[in-house]
Amino acid sequence: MESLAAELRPLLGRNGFLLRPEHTLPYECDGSTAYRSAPQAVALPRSTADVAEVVRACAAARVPFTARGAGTGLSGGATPIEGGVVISLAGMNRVLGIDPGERAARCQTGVVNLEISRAAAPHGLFFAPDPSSQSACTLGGNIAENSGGPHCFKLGATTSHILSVTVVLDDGEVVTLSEGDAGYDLLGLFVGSEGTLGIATEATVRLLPVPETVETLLAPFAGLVPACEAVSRIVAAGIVPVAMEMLDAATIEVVEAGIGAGYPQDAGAVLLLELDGARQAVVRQRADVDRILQECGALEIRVAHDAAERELLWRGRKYAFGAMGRISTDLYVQDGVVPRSALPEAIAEVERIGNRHDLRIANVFHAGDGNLHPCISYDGRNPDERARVMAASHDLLSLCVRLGGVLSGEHGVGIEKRDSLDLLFSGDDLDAMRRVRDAWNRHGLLNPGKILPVRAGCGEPRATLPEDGPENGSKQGLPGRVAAIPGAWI
Amino acid sequence: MAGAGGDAATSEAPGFPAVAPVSEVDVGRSLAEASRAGQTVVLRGGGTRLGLGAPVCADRTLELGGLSGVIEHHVRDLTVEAWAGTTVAALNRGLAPHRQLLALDPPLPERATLGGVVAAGDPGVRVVPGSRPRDLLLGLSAVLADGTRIRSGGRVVKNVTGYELTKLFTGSLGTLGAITRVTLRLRAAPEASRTVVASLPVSDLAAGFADRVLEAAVLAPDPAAVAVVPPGTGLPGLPEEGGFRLAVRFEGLKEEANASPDGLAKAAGGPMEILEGPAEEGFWAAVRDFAAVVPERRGALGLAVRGPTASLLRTAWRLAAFGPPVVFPDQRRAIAAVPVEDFQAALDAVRQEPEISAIVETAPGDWKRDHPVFHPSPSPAIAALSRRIKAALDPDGILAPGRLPF
Repeated sequence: MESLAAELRPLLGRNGFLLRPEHTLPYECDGSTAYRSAPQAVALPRSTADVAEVVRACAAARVPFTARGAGTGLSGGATPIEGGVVISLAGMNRVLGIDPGERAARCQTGVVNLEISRAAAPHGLFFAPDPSSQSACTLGGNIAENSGGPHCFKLGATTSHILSVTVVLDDGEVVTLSEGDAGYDLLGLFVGSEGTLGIATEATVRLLPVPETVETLLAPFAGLVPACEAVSRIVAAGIVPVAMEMLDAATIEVVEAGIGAGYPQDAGAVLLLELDGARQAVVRQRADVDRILQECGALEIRVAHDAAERELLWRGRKYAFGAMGRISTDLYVQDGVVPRSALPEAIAEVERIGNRHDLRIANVFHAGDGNLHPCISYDGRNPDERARVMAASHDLLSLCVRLGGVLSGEHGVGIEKRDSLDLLFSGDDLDAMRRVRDAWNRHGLLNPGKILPVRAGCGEPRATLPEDGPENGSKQGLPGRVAAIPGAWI
Repeated sequence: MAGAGGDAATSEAPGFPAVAPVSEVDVGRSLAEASRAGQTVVLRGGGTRLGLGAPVCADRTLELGGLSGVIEHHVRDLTVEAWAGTTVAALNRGLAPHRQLLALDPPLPERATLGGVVAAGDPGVRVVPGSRPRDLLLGLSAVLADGTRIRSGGRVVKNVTGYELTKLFTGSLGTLGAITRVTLRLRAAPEASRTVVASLPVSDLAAGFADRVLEAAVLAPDPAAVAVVPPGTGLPGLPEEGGFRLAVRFEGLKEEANASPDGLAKAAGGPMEILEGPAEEGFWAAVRDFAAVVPERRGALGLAVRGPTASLLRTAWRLAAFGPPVVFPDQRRAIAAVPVEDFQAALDAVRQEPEISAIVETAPGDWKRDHPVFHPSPSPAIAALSRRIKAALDPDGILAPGRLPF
């Protein structure tokens, strides 16, 4: 590592290549803190050319390297599980230009998600992907994880909004991948590949016009089943709300105790729904939605009349995870997806899984796309409780697969779910993925140990639960002390 | 339903044996056999876009059109799993009673198969994002060159579990594997639809073509499709006389379909025409089929150009000197029918805009054998990476070798 430093410091500066443990320790994990592994060095490039040089040097020295944005990821994507060099893109945080005619923005990938919309706002445009962490997470992280957010039900996840990406490949070569390129959809494969195929350094993103009208509604129900029925019927009626978020009674209780969002505490579920578009269209959608909500037994329908009221209705949803974090030392959030019509069955089964393992599971989910977020508050210092969380986690993933769903809707596989991938895919499926990955990542140095199950005997360690003893308290808690992250980004 | 309609199929390449499997197992057997024999294979769905890419001379044609029918329609989830040989039109006919549709608009939907549309990656005529194969394809099964069946994606609308091989197969032109099943996202059939057609006065075209269209496209609220259409295409449904038209389709609830075109009228400055019902369907069917029909009918090249909208519109205007172009401004894509003898001049026009790339989609006869298809060619790094990906899934290179430019 000293020789890498000698090679790269003339380029990056002394403070652009960190070696001291107190400087590298903050890079030992992302938002999923269960897996920790400090890098031997951290590189802080300022340009695509810098990144390319760092990658070339690492490749030549056969040192693993892992890109990192803001470190808000929830599956260990930015955790250098095999050590090596972390390449932090946080310093490459500029919006390089907005082209309103093209509805596009050119950005460095270390830019914070929300900054893109801020820069586009004077032109009446915005960047659609809106993960809860959008005031902290970076565009590069969104590209790596194919991040979603409440509004991707209508607008699509990150992959729908990237027009082109400048990528540093595993040998330091720089290429541009664009929408509509002749040949394979390399851009489509790259977005969501969790930093294992290359490092995105700049991107041109699609901007959308800010809708003429936005209407936000909150409908409490006696329980989740009628609320889910309303969601299904709204979609079947041809109405595409821009967001449909659901909170169950356990979540409402925690939210109200924590921040007092004003959600009705006697409700069994709350559906938060947002419509947008041309004014006349929204008026009509609203009429249809109101009718369906009433037919399905909504206890009331609250409407936000202005931006402040809208913010209030969203507040409980946005801070749900943070509020949960306050009531326990550790919080585990899962990210499985089920077909929308299976939501009632899934939620009932989640409750049974909680009872079986003697755990309290709260549910907050993106109802429109069936993306569950079962949240388990627990005490990571208690080995028995941790073991029960792990057992429940496995049951929850199996449940999603059994109901026709998948393991992750927006958080990614990372380290956390890589060894569960065979619940969903056959050995042949995984083999094909592995071969395609290896076509990009020829020496296995790019963010190793992520996404695919690790083969025994190939030198890559299997993801196992970190065992903590009294001496390494900081490694406690699997999975994830989400509460430690400001705002809890889900 | 596998095997329904597996009657003897004909090959586009006379003289080469065509094989028409009636089940996924047959596909695997056929490919494994070809693989063992070291024979090259062209995969064929409906044959509507078989001309895409560079020409291939293969030992066998594997006909996948017989592998058709719906496997499962998840009505309440608005998703469907179907055999890849099902045609787009047949699927939509089956969905109609449920008031649902697959919002893919490939040319010639009566013949175009789901697997073929995915393999061709044809973006159709609707606005992006939302209605391209890459947006609607949730999952697929494919048989690789050695006969191995793989699955990728799933049947839910949001999924980041594992590598998105579905995206890789989209636009792969049959070079990675035989797509056998697809799972697609559906939408509720619109309650109403309406298209506003504005004439773009000829005097404006030379001067403010790009600005005018861009402005109109930006001002339209939530359009379902936007196209600039030339006169004189010879396609029924499209105007023969007059100047270029800017067509904007609105659909959804009645109130969405009737979205006010005020901004559009102002930007276009010319007279406006409203299309509804069969006239509207006919208009968009013609726009949809243009790429597969007009160049061939004229014995011309189908030249697809892509790039940022402003340079794209300037390019389309220059190409109009050679043959009629259709432009999809929000897709950043246009397609023009260019006479063979004007190819070099057309290419020069394309090269005036450094950000524009061009692909000869279709060409008469043997033209493609002597002319490069992709302009510019992919960079050496991209070509090398693409070759490694191809080798990862088709190590012996038996599937449509040479189809793509690497």
